[in-house]
Order: sequence, then C-alpha cells, then structure tokens
Amino acid sequence: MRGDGRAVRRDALWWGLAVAGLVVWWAVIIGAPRLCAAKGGPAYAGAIGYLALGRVCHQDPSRCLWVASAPLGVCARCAGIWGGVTLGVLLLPVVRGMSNRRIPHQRYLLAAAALVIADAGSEWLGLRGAIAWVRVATGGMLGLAAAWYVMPAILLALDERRRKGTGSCKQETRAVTT
Amino acid sequence: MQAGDKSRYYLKAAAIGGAAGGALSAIPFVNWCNCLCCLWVLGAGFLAVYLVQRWSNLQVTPGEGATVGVLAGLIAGVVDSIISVPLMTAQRTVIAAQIARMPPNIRPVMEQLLASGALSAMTVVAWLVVGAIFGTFGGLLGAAILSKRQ
Repeated sequence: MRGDGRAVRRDALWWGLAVAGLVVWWAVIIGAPRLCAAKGGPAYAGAIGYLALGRVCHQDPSRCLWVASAPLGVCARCAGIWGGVTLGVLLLPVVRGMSNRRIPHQRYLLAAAALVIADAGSEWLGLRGAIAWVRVATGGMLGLAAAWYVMPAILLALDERRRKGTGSCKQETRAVTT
Repeated sequence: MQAGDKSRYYLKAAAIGGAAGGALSAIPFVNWCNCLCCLWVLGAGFLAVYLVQRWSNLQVTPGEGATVGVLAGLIAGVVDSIISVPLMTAQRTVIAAQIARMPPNIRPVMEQLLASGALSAMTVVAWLVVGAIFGTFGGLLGAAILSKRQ
C-alpha cells in the first residue's frame, strides 16, 4: 500500500516534469521571436530557439498566429499540435488516471492524423482557402491524441529503467555478500 | 532470447533510421515534411525501432525505443548537417532570401549571424537538440504503436 502511494507520487513527479517541459517549450515558441528583437546575448538565444523551431515548422509569417504584434515561433497548425499536447498532458490524470500505462489503440492516432491530412490536402488541392482555426483545431486533435500515446510510453520506459536499476543493484549486493 | 540480444542491433538500426531521416531532411522540398512536427526525425526513431524489432524478433519496450530513438535522432541531425551546412554555405543568396521572408523583428539578428558565419554553427546545434528530442519521441511512439496487444 505504501509502495503504491510512492509509485503514484513518482508518476505525479514525472507528470509535473512533463508539464514543466511543455511550459519551457511554450516559452521558446512565444519568446524566441521576441528575444530576436533584443540586443546581444538574448538575441542570439532567441535566434537559436527560432532556428530550432524552424526545424519543426516552416514558420511562414502569413500562416502563424500573431500575439501582440509578434508571430509565434511556429505556424497555426503546429501551435494547435503543441496546444493539444499540452491539453492532453494536463487532462491525462483527470481523464485516464495519473498512473494509467495503457496505450490506446493506434486507430485513434491514425484518425487524428487523417484529419490533419484532410485539412492540409483540401487546402493544397485548392478546394478551400486557409482557415487558421481549422488548422489549429485539427492540429490540436493530433497533439491531444499523441500525448496519450507518448505519456504512458514515457512512464513505461521509466518503469523499465527503474526495474533494471533495482535488478542490477540486487545482483551487486548479492555478489558482495557472497 | 534475452533483452541483451536486442541491444546489439541498436546502433545499426539507429544508423539506418538516422541516415534515412537525415538524408530526407536535407533534400529540398522533401524536407518540407519536417514541418509536421519533424516528421522525418520522428520517422527515423520509428524506423530504428521497427528494424530492431524485426531483426531480433522480440518486442521493443518503450525504454529501448527511447534509447534507439535518441541515437537515430542524433544521427539524423549529424547526417542532415553534413549535407545541408555545405549547401547553406554555398547558397548564401538563397539563405539571404529566406531571411528576407522572416518577420521584421527576427531579420536583423539572422542577417548578423549570416554575415559572421555563425548561422551554420547555430543551426547545427539547434538541429542536434531537436533531433535528440524528436528522435526519442519517434522511438517511444514506435515502441507504443508496434507493441503487440495482449
């Protein structure tokens, strides 16, 4: 019972770290383009952040969401994806339970990806114009789905690492005592 | 067969996945797929996990997936840098045109970095960091998706 409480606290700690990681990621998305306008070191830090985001997104200013006269470091769809990931991680303990390690069936992830493909495809084929909120919404669904695959996978990976660590410690203890 | 048997495939699988992801990330137009959450780097981690599972005939756990994925992501970053950085250096006018399309508050620092030659070094650092992060996610997703249902 005591072990269970400790396991839940450990899962809560990892969940907190995931939330903290996402806060940092959002700080880069919102802050990097603003820091670029500064002078000296902060401007270079902003440039590294902006270049890193450039690897993940096309950053076309016309397709980005603008907040207080500066664009976000990623486009509207990517902002939706990261918003979905953040929402997914935040809702995970409420909807699925903090320690739930069950990975959903892949059909949900594929369905969410199909929505993004349908949105991007119909726009690319010229069937309709670019609609920012649709890109944010479809991206958000994909991000939400991805979070519910990645978070349990991270917890399982950490369990595995802990089991290995405990196993090797026990073996070492046995070797020392014999 | 023990889990240790899988580990001998890690580097080979990560090298193949990373080389494929890095090369695709460097090809103009094809690299636009990276605009969807670094798809080629996620794919590099996923492919590496798939290869380990196929060669070893054993299920890859999320922890192993993360290990193979981070290796594949880093290799993808290195391969992409090896191909792209010389191209970037050679095509300064193309890069200058790309910078001209950036928002006005970002342009001055990027122009300064391009002029000083530090842009390539900063790009490599940024790509390696992103490669490691997204390669890990690709490996985790690969292990989660390719795991056989009980």
